[in-house]
Amino acid sequence: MTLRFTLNGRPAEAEPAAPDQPLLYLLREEPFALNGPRFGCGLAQCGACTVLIDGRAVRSCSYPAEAVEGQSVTTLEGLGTKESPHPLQAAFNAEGAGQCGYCSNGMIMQSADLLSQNRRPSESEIKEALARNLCRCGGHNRMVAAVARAAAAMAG
Amino acid sequence: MNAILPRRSVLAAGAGLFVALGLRGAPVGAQTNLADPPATDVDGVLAIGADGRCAVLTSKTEFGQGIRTALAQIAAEELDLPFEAVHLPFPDTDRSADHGLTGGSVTLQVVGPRLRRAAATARAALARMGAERLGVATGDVETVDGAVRVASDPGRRVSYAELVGGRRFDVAIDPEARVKDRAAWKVAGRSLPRPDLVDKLTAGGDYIHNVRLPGMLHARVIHAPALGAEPVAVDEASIAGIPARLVRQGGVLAVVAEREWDAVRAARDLAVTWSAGKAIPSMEEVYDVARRTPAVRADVTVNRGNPESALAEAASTLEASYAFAVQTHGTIGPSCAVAQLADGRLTVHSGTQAPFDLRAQIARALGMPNEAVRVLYHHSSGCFGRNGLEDAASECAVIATAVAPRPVRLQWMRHDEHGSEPKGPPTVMDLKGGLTAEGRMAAWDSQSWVPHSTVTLLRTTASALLDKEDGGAPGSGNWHANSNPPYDGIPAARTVVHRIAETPFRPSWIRTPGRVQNCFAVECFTDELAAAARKDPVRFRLDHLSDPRGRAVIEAAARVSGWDGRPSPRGEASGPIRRGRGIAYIRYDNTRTYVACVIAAEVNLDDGTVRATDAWLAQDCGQVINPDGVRQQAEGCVVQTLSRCLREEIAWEGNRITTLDWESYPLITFPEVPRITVEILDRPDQPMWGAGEPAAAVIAPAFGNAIFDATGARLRRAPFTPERVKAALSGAARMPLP
Repeated sequence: MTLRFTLNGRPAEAEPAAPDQPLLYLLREEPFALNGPRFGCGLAQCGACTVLIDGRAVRSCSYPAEAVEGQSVTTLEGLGTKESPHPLQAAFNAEGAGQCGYCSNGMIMQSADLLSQNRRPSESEIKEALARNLCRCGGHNRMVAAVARAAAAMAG
Repeated sequence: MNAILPRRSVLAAGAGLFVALGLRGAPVGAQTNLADPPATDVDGVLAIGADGRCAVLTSKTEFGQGIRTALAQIAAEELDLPFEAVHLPFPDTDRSADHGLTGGSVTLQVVGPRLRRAAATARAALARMGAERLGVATGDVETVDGAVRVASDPGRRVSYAELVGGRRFDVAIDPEARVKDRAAWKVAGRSLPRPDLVDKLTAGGDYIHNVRLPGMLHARVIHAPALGAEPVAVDEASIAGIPARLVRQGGVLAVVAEREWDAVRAARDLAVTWSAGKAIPSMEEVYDVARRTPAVRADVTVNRGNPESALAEAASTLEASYAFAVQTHGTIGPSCAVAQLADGRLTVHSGTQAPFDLRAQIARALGMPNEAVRVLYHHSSGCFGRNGLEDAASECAVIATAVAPRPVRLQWMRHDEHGSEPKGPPTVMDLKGGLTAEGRMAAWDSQSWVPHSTVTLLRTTASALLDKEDGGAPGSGNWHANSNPPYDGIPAARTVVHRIAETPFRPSWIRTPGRVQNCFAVECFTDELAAAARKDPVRFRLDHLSDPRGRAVIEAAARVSGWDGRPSPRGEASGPIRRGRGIAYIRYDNTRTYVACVIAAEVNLDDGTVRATDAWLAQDCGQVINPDGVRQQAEGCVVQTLSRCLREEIAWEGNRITTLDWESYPLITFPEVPRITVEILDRPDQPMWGAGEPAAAVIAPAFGNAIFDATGARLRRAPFTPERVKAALSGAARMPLP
């Protein structure tokens, strides 16, 4: 079964290993070999694997690859690059919002979803939006500041 | 000796006392396992490349603590190089200097000064070489921006690359090499951002999880669901429909596939019948069993005056027991490794804290010489101690021998990490204290039970499964550390730490090992004594502490928090939400970083939930290389340790761990994280000390003391679950633990 979808703005095709293969494994293997979405729990509990599907944050570790047919997937790589970062990526870097950084993919992608729904979220709205994303290093307050900073930057 | 001890422990403690006589009153020594072997020449520490960039060669690894940024700042400063011109190649056992494992908050403290001297030696050598090349006296040149130039004629210059690029210095490190005055610093002492962060925020970063080699296979291991269980029968037919194959080497049970998902589902679907495994104590019994477990030795961490007679003569006495839960490191990215056996050489990619130790362990378990094994480091997800990374690497190495010469990647699943990584062990401390009629501490006597050592116990999983010794990991975890009260104003004090032979799960070092647990007991008990004396907790501590730097952090924490001096508990409150504040203090290992923390807490009397609303931390870690790096570590210590205090507890039924995911072992969430204020007391003329661990030690006691201040309920067992809070509120926890 060949899946056809859009990946970071480009048409993509892939053959899942099995009907129940989660999207995360498809994105991380050849030919895509993406590093942005990360395996954390496989249970949709931590958020490290988050991608945007048609603009909304989805936990790719628990999202069946089959369901992506015809949809548009954006990963951390599609959001921005080191040379041309998305305002969220720039803000996270400016705030030092990340120690080991492993969770940051989920934090940024979930925040991208938030900012697309709510252009100027309050501090408590940011915290609620990220309440189901786990961080072990304790960079939480800096991430909240980074999201607020990015929101301000995007609002111009 | 104390009559409450069972006989075996009395003997062990006696032996410890005998050994400790020569150390009367002295703190137990620093962790030798973390001290790096002294490099004798500059080339063992740094190299100038043909492009003029400086590589700092160290086995110290980065998992977000910022040490590699700080080390680069030190080298850049002493070499007069721009920060961007210094880099730290990933540790590689074929190339890096072995500076020991990364941990114990000692990287800056131990490697920092040596790197500084090596860089200063190198700068002096470059100045000599440059002066010779330029035909002037050494005294007539200066070093600026990676070049040597004539001070009076800056146009006459020669770059470092021209002088030594790509070649050796062949100069011994000069211990007297002149280092820069703090006032002259341009690169060190500043909050420079971590260069590794931007990659992690964009392309995904060079994590071990992202290593992909041509022809790489994917593996999953199947770990026993119960402690000590072994596979009795494996039904290969159960995965007949999946393109994956079984690998069995000794007790290592794994599946290997071309595609990762096939390995995942094969491991999921493989039908295995397991033996019953070994019996372990229940969660409720575990602390009492620790007290009864034979001690290999006892450490006396302070021995001053005569606590027995001082307690007998005290105007009033208190007794209490404190216990801390079994916890997991909680790494967000489960352990992962890539290994390949080809041409007689085994290459292992790992996010390990200790590349050289891991090489030795794998080589020994597999019966290979050290030289035949190469370990390469890649960024890991924050491990906060010895988690499953080394185990995954060891298992991956075994699987690589079965699929050679193809490379293979092993990724642990979430249940592997929660279930099979080594754990922070259960610890318990029994304390007695005595007060004078004036309310001063007169006597202190404690016994505590911690793992003997993680040295011989902490083999890799592959070592155990293959039944081949691997020598263990050379780290003790120093579980005895800070088991003594930090107050020299107590005239009679003795603290004995029983190093017990075994604990139910493999014990490991976990961030701030021993000090989190010990400081919880020591600083909450100090608070109990202050409350019994009806003294303000800050004043009470200052009244027993002469060390000016210790007093300074306590005073700073009190100042920035707006501390209201009065005895605890606060009393006179109404409504279901009660608020209070608590303080705790530590001098890390009695020898280095000072920290004090004030926490403001809220307690919901109706449902027993607690939360910290603010944390104010004051820290003196000596000379500061990167202030924001220190701040980030302090913030991380607050949040992570609050998480460990709120809910984190490994649970088990029979010999099966039941907390195998984030639902059953929940971490702190964004709305629960307090406001955090970090006050750094910079000591520019003092040695640099670690900042990654010390602040974690004071969080549990400051939080517990704040809850006491709010309610009068004393929490003596962490985590502070709603059930325990409600029990404490009803007075049940005033009784000693069973």
